[in-house]
Amino acid sequence: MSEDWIADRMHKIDASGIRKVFDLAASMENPVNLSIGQPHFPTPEPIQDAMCQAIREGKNAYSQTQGIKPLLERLQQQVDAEFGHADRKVFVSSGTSGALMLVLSTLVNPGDEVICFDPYFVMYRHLTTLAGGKCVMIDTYPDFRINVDRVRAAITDRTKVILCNSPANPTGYVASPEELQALAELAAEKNIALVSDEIYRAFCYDREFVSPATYNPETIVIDGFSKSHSMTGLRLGYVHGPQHVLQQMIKLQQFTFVCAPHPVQWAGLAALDCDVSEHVADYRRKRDLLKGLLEDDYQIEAAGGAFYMFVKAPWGTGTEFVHEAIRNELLIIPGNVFSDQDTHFRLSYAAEDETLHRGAEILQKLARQGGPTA
Amino acid sequence: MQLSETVQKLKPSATIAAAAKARELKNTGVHVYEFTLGEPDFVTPEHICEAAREAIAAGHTHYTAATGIAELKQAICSRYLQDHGLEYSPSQVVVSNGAKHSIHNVLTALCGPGDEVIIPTPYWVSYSALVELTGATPVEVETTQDSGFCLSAEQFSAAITPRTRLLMLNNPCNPTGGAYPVETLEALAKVAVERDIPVLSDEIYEKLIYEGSTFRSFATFGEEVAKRTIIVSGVSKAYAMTGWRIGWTLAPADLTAAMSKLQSQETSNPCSISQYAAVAALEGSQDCVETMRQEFARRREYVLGRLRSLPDISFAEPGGAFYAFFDVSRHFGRKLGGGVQVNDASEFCTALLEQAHVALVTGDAFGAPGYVRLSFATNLSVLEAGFDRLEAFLKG
Ligand SMILES: Cc1ncc(COP(=O)(O)O)c(C=O)c1O
Ligand SMILES: Cc1ncc(COP(=O)(O)O)c(C=O)c1O
Repeated sequence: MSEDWIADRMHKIDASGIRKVFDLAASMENPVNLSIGQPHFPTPEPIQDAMCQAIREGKNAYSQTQGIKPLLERLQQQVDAEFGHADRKVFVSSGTSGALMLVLSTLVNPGDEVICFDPYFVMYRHLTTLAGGKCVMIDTYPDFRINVDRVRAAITDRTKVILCNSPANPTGYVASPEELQALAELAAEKNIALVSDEIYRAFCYDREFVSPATYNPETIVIDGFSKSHSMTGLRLGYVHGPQHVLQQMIKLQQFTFVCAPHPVQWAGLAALDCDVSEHVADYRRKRDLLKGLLEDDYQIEAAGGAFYMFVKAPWGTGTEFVHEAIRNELLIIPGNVFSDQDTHFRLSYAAEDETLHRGAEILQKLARQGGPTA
Repeated sequence: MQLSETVQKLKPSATIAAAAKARELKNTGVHVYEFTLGEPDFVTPEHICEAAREAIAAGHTHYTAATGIAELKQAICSRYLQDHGLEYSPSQVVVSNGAKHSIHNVLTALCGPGDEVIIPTPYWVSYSALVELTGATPVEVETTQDSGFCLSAEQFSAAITPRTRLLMLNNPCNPTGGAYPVETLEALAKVAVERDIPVLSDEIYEKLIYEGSTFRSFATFGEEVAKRTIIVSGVSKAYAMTGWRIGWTLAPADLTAAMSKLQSQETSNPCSISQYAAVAALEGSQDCVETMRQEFARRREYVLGRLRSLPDISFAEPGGAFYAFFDVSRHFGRKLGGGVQVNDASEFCTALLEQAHVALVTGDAFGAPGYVRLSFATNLSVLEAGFDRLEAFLKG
């Protein structure tokens, strides 16, 4: 097949950043792995059981595009109770990333701009590009707060979407109600779609979770079961927002993914009755543990939620520092995978305590050695 | 809020709309004879379900490689080697959330604004929508009942322009059931090579082939053809697994690399448990496929018998899939059941649903005015009752 068959858009997306890291990691024999982007606990048993039961009961054919009724109804109740917006509807998507793809394709015309906060979740950039849009990055270093004045200054005639993510990957930053309110009101004032990726909402350690949708009823919320219920492999997400936007997204799902895997939707229904607060408490404890171990050598900003810390490299670029970490059997991700700048690295504490201890030890040593040894 | 023009332009799936209409009527307490479904009416075979439950118990509920687990890619390759003598390597496989998602991946990786994609009609509704989503233009080429709704090499050749990016073939075809004769396919393959046009061959119904027809995968006509072929298929129809959402592409390695990149940034992996179920489907005994096919074959015989005895109906016998596609245009303008007159296939379907409570899908949805599609993925007694009603409706 000749190379010139490939459509132009494919040359504008690049999946190599994180792959390069994993290629490097392939040579590691017994890595201390603090790079994992998913919970380390098993999928809770009631969820597994519900899925097995659905399979046994033959719930294996296409479901309706927007999801099975009982799950839709439960989610709708939940959303109504939280927001009470007249026009806030729900549908079930094939994964959270699937929902992000649907929302960006639904909102973005070629040439439109999408405002994201740097550091950002990698898919945002690529999904925007695939929809023909352009990401406009708002720098949030060093503390990763949402500075609404900067957002205002970045708005142009072509701004179509503001994409926010709290708690955030990769920084673990949990935005304050004030920041979110200001952002939500700005979006409303400028008639810009606000998309809120709330996949980590269960993981807030120092303040309560607040959705920007609280302040802007037109906010489109992207959520899912992957992280909260350790169901990353199963591919179940959901969306809530204004009906006219959702209708378009559902139509697009009909033409692409058709529906979320049917038995998984029954697993999702069981997940809604599954208490994960113990796991959240455990991650808070792990956060405190790791922060405590690193505090002497690193300044740790944000890290109030999700299960990530985004930490400034004590020397060198993020990439140089990560290379040295990998030479020392520690697997972490360089900041430039998530950012236009290369100064930080991402740690995930979704790992056993022992791994956190070993990782922290290596990080202490690396900070104190002041530069690469090789 | 202003929405994307491309997405807004998409017409909602007519098959789904037809099913929704039937459901509405059902909800009012009416018994509806439904022949709109595009999926087998069987449950997924037990050994496949068992494998899924084992995978759950084994904890395979976390992210997998974005394009699928190695076991599944290997199982897919082994099956194509065994069934078609085709040698694919796992690096040529992308496993997706169903074959529809696979088609989206192919089109997104290959097509953009200004490109043309040749689609023989009648065609599966989603094809043109998926093409339009990429900004490319679908170029519809009408096939005829006489040819069994198969595109000829001459038609293909004549439709090619400097902008042609792709031919989308669907063999066996939804909605017509048309199964391409080997010679026709070979002639198409020759044109594809001579004119250097890639071919997306949607072979999702390949296991449902009936007496008198044979199936040949498009990639089997030599290396030069294989280099230009993208096979799309999946487990939905052959193993009664539509709800599991597993489809795949088999394509040249460089296109596969592009689609892998795309999928890793758009959706990541398809459902992990479904992938293990698909391994069991492909590696386990294939008896279940044949058992289901035989049941479909019995229904098809019945359907064809009934169609032959209906007045002023014409059709080409479906060689595959589970659809009968027939021309009802000679009934337009006549008095049908309940004294209703109709002017096109869409009105025909509406009247049939309202007057006789029989649900079919209008050919207008497949680029085939004058035709209707009947799915025989339903049991014989329902088919019998449905045909009785259809017959009475036609007699006015
Ligand atoms: C911020 C954010 N959004 C979305 C996703 C994707 O979630 P899913 O696996 O459910 O598609 C992730 C996963 O890492 C994430 O970190
Ligand atoms: C021609 C054709 N291709 C592909 C598909 C999609 O199948 P899947 O369920 O794997 O997405 C269908 C389903 O109706 C179909 O008719």
